[in-house]
Amino acid sequence: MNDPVSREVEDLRSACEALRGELARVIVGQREALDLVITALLAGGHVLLEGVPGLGKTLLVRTLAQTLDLRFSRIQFTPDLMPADILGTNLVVQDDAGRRRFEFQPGPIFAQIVLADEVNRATPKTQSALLEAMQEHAVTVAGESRRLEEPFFVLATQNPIEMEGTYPLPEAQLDRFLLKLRVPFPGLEDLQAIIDRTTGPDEPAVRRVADGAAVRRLQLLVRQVPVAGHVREYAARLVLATHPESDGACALARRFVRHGASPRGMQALILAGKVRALALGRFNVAIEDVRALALPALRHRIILNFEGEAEGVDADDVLRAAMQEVEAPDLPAGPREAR
Amino acid sequence: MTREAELLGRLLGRVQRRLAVDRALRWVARTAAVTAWSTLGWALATMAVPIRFPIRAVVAVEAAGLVAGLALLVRLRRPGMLAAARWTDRRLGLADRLSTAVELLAAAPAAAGPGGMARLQIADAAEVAQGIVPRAAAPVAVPKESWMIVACAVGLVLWAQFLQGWTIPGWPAARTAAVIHSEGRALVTIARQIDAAAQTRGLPEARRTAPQLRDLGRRFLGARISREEALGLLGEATRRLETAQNRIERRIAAAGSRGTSGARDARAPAIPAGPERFQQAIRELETLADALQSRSAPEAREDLSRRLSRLSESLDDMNAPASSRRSLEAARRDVELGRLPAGATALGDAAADLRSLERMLGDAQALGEAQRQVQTSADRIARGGPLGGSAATTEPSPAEPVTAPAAAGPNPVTPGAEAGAPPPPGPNQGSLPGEGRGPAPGAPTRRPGVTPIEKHLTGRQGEGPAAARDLLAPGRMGSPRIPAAPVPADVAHENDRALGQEPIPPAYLTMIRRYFETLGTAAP
Repeated sequence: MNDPVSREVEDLRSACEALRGELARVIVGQREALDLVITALLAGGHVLLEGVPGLGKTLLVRTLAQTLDLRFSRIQFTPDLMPADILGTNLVVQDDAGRRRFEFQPGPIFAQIVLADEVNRATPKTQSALLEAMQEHAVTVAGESRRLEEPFFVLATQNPIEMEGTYPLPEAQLDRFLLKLRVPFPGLEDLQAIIDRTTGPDEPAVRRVADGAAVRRLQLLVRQVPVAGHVREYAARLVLATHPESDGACALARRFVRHGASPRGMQALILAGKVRALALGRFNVAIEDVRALALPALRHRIILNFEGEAEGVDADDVLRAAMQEVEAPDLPAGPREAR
Repeated sequence: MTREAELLGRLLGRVQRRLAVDRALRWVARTAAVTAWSTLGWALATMAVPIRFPIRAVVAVEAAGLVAGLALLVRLRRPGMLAAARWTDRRLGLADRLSTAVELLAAAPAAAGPGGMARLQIADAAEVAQGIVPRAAAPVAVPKESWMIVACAVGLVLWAQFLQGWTIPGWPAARTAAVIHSEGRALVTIARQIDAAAQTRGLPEARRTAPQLRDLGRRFLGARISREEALGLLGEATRRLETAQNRIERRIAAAGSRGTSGARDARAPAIPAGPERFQQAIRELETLADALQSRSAPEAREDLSRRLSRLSESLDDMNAPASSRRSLEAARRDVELGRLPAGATALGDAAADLRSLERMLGDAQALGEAQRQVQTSADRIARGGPLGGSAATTEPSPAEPVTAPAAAGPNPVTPGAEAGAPPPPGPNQGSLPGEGRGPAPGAPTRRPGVTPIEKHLTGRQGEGPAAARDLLAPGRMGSPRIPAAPVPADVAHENDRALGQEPIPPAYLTMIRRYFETLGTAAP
């Protein structure tokens, strides 16, 4: 274990454990959501959290920011929110000499962890302000492009039931999220634990376990995880199976899907798979990683057609069907019984 | 990295071998199942159609082919290293560790080796590989098709034990079996005839041949025997008969040439004339010898000499052995000189020579008959020819007791009919009992004025001896062997009634009546 890569991997594992532990001190349950948020963070992607109000989405993001020594900002999306409110704007300022000049006043996007709360309440125009920031980690204001500080991690939340006065995220915007997590309602034991933890005299405190540089280093480390050819092929075939016009499309996709997952979905599968593999003590991405991450990585990239919407088909159903139908790639020259 | 690579290579090499064996076993089992079913089908088909099915050869060839296929497949269809790694990953739930490591090792430059995370991955895979048992990774299982192979093998054994030779009535195989059966009867019949001739005339070769033929015929009659087997047995019998025949012919030729000289040597090996002429000559020689011996020759010496000269010429014509001709010549000289006892002795010698030759000819004729029968049987069985037995068409030999055509039944087989000719029409046309084509045998033809006797002959059609013998000896004087008995009254009455119904002129009718009355009064 004197190998620097080994040490970094060990650091990553311990960071993951520490992060999970700190988050778990505040967040009750939601184990999968916590793991996937950490996964997205280390993969360098963004997360869309979907759930009814009161499940701790905002708390989760805020706690994450506290455990990492990163600059955090929260944007509450409302219908009257303008792009400049997010990105920032040039203001006219007067210096001591009485000269006036434009000075860029950065918006809340200029942080390292950005909570876009109730992102679907803003207009598409405002939502689109996030596009460049999420993809390029840069914003352009008044013709001037400004880099965002790394690591840059956006966590957006949205409420799936209050659709009145909301603006569903456009496909291009959705595609920028690495994972879309559905925050489930807690069970009985978790609810009791929430009561204990939030109504007592002591508020749980978290400690910082990593800083931005460490996160950035771990993000670079994750990308070194090797992926076997057949795993890549499986991920590609899984994505193709969601495309109704594809030869390998699953039956449900042919019937209910208008647009399948994008290549970004495939990238998300592999990147998140790399983090998962390392977190589980492996140094390679396996097909089981791809399968485990297929729902959060692809569910928001599948656009159902009218029939699918009318039938109440969920993207998760399509993905499960695709995983059932898509088999592991044939063995190159060996027994087919291995499938 | 070398150690990890070697470790992985060693493990995956063993997995590869086991996978190759397992895969080959499956393929061979599948092929064996198909082959076994086909073989069983082939065996069962022999009950319907007369096809060849050498079970031992077939099973041996199939087994050899499958073993060779197994060896070839194990050698040629060995899965690659990556396939073995993926198989092991999948089988043991190793989360694609080994396959990724194999890919990384294959992709890395040989000198530098993989670096960074790849090296860690390979080390991780090697560590996992250390705990893997190849047997668990690639178990060589008994193919699921095995029960089919076992079932077919049991089926084949049962078929060989209980069903081999059985045929489905009405199908070509049944007809072939009937032909074999029929030829078996013919062989038994000809064997019986040869045996009878051998006993009567003291033919040694025929005596040896007859039991062999009879056994062969009984085998055809008794055992369930295939066409190929029957033809094989007949071929073997033909070879044996040919050998015996050649031996006899050599002996005959030697006897014909023994003691000859000069110009006659050129035709000495020729086969002499038929045995009936020899028998005539022998009888004449014996009569003359008896006469000379008893000094009761009524003729004058010149007459005796002339008879002997004619006999000598006759022997020359028959190409008789030179020794007998010389003895006859000596006898003639003795008679001319009045030495009758010496002449009788010489004639006896000549007769003995001729009798010996006659026995050899009899042997040759019997063997020839047997050979013809065996050949005919072989031809008919090979063609699956008409029923009824080839004995029905065997050419009768003038000197031999020959079998009459098959026993008269409702549809006797026409003697001399062509092999492919259809049998005569009738309700039981060309068939054996129980295999007739008609719905039921027709009613027997009513003979006028005869009360039918409800008595049926038992046995099978064509079975039983029906011999005809040519009596060559002159009739003997003396009392008849069957003593005359008084004509029973009912017979006389029936005779009168029958005569009354016939269109016979009254004068002749009276004469006939008187004749029978005379017979009645002559009886004691």
